[in-house]
Amino acid sequence: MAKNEMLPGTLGMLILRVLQPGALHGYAIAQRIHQLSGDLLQVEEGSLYPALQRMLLKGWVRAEWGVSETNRKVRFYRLTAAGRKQLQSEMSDFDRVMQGIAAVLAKA
Amino acid sequence: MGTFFRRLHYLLNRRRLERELQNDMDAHREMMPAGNRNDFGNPTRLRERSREAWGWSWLDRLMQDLRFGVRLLRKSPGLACTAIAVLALGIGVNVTAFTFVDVMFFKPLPVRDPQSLVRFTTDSPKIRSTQVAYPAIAFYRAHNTVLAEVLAQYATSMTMTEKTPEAVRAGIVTGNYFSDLGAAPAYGRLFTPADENPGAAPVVVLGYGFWQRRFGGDASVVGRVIRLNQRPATILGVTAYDFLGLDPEHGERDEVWTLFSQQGYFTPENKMLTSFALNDSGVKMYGRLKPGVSIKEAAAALEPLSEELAHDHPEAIQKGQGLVAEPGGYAASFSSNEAAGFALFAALVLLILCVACGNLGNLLLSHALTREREVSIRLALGATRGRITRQFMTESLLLALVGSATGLLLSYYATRALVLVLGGPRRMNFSPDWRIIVFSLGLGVFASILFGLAPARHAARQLQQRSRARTIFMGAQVAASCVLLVLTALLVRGLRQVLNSDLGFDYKHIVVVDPQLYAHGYAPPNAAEYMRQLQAQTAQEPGVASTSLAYIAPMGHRLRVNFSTHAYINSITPGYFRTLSIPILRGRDFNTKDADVAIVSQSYANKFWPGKDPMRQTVQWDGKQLAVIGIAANAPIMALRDGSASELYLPDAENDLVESVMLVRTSRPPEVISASLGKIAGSLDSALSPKAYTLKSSFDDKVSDSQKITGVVTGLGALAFALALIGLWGVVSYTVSRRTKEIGIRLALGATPARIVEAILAKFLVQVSASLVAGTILAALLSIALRHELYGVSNFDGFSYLSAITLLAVASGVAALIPARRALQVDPMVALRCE
Repeated sequence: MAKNEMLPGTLGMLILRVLQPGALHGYAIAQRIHQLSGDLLQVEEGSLYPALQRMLLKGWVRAEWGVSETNRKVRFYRLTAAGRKQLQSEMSDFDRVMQGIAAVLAKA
Repeated sequence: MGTFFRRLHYLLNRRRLERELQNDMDAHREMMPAGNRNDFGNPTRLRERSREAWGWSWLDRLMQDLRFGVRLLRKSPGLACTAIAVLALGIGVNVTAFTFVDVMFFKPLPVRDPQSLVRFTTDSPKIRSTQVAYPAIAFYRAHNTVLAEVLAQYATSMTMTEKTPEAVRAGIVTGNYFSDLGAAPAYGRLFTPADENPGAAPVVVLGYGFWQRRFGGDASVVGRVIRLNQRPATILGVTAYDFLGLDPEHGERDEVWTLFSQQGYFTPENKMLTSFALNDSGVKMYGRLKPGVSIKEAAAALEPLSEELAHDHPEAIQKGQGLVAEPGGYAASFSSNEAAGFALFAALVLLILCVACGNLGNLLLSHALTREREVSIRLALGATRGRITRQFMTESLLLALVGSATGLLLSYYATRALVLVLGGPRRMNFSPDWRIIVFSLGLGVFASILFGLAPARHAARQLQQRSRARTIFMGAQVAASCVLLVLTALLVRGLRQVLNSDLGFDYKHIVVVDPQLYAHGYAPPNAAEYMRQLQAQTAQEPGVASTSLAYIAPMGHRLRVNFSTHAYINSITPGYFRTLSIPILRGRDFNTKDADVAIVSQSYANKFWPGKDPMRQTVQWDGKQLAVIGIAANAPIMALRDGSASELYLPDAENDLVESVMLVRTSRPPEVISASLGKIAGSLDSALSPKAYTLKSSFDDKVSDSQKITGVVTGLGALAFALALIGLWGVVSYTVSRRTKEIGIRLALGATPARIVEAILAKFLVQVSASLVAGTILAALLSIALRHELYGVSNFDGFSYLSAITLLAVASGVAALIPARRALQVDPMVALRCE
């Protein structure tokens, strides 16, 4: 796995987490993830939008219109109640998995 | 759930949403630092992936394939037309057959609440009858708890006199018949139960068709008084134009309707209201179940009543005689005999579909091979083989759906034409309803799998000539045609036998005169007197060779059979055998003084007294022992196809004369004088309107059913044959064209035309022979169901099989040789250079 790729399957969770404080548009989401991870994680734009579409389909986020920093009408994605629940569940699953991995790495 | 609606929302607002997405992605790109812009990725690919997330890709692909398929068909109109025509024929035939069966057996009659109607018939150890005695019906009506209504119906004829007497077909019904069935009048009103009250005025209802024809559709007939059987009756009203009642065949033709309760008025001597014997008063009985009661429960509840009836009337009702209940809301019901016939028909029409699909399959296989380039390009562009298969299947499905729509249209007209030709209740509604449309579409889908799957898989895998699919398609066509042709040959042979058969009596010179005395209230002594005068007067007519009376007219619609002994019984007067030219082998004919004697047929004697002298035997009848005084030659008057029938003749009893007919042997052609004989019978009593017809016409009637069936199967056979030949031609042409180069080489190397033909067609020959064998075996199996149709011809009749196979073999040979010969005439140099 290349240095700046994230674990497969975690992109969704990261997007949801990043949207928790408030709505963001696509570029902002990618930026935020990159910044918060200390420039470690680079969101592949090729995965971002399909992931967002999936979340729209499942009802975890909602799209609403807003204006971007470049004064352009663009859609902002906002977390829904279902999305919050999904975030909690994914985060707790992730914690469990990480504990398991850490345990194996520590002892084996 | 929410997900589904969101998906739907996406589907309906696609364009807008995709534009918004595009906008998002553009904005994102703009905001990226200039150097990194290329990291965004391929926008088209991104759009595609985003779109896939919504799960409607299959729809997109389907639409794509359909549009491409339509373009393809437009570009090859020849292929399209041929394919659609073949499919329309194959599917149309099936839909027509299904429509018939559906309307006759599965579609409820147009009456109120047909599901709760029950039809009752009589079953007893000795007789089975479709009728029930009217007084018994009244008894059931009065004493049961499971039926909300009891209805009865009977068809007979009466004489209507306005200025001159004329015979009219009359339906007799109970007072609740029209009201319970929900029938509305076209004019005036119809019967109600109140009309059955004793002392109610005599009334009659006109049938719509009769009202139009005879009264010119004059609305003022309501309230008019006409004379039925010489007695005045008031016209209450007219039935609706599409009224069929519970018995469409009669309901359609009945001209007037009267009440059972008033039969005592119209035909005073009629035993219909009093006698419990089926012969006297048998009519059709129906019932309407009370809510919550099933047919089985109703039948069980009526059993104790049947026992009571049998106990109270032992002279007319047998012990153990009871009612059989069946659903009554349909035009016809299955009997096990007919089930085999229907299964056979289903098989036959499916065979036609097989031939059509085989034809189409080969057609599409050839067409698919011309699209190799297209397929290669698609594969190179990244399509999976599954995708290609799906594409070709979609095109086949498109063809199939268009074909089945056309077939549906075809069958609409074909059904009407068939009803006209074959005869059937014309006013039954044969228009397609949802059931038939679904069936037609379903058949289309099924067919598209049959003929489309193989070409699709071949295209996807880019297989070349050597394929078993082609063989199977062709083989199926040949085998199916073989089956149909063999069955056609069998039926045609059987029919010819019937038409040329010797029935044991002379039916070509007989006129039957039926005065229908029972319908006009004749008492037995009056009937005897009438018949005596009739015979005397008729004998004096020029052209009359001899006369006789008989209870049962040969080849008529009445039967008197002892089911356990399988003997057909007739009461006759002296002269019967002479009139019908039946030789008396031993003993003598009856004379006027005979009592307690009987004459039997040779087959009867052989069956019951093998090895013994029949003249010393006695027959048990009606509690008496009758001495056998004569043996007649076999003359199966009712049983054209019943090989085990035998006849028993009794001297006429006075009571029988009321229902007897007169048989007249003519020295002139019978058609010529039958009308005048009828007039003589009418002249003796102006109230009568006797029927006079020739036995030949009865015979033609009986045979017409067989003729129709044979006609239909022949039609199917011809269709299959034509389709198969076209298919064969196509396959051979294709094979030859593929091997043109090889032919050129062989010719250049000096092979003779014969050797080349042999080389190319050898495999073909083997395939056709194998199919013929398979077809013959299948035909043999199916012909077992035809056994009762085939008179005098075994269902394994070698001549029929051989002629069908030979025809097919020769035709196949011709179909194969023509393209082959044409190939041989090509210049070898041209052939060698052709790719």
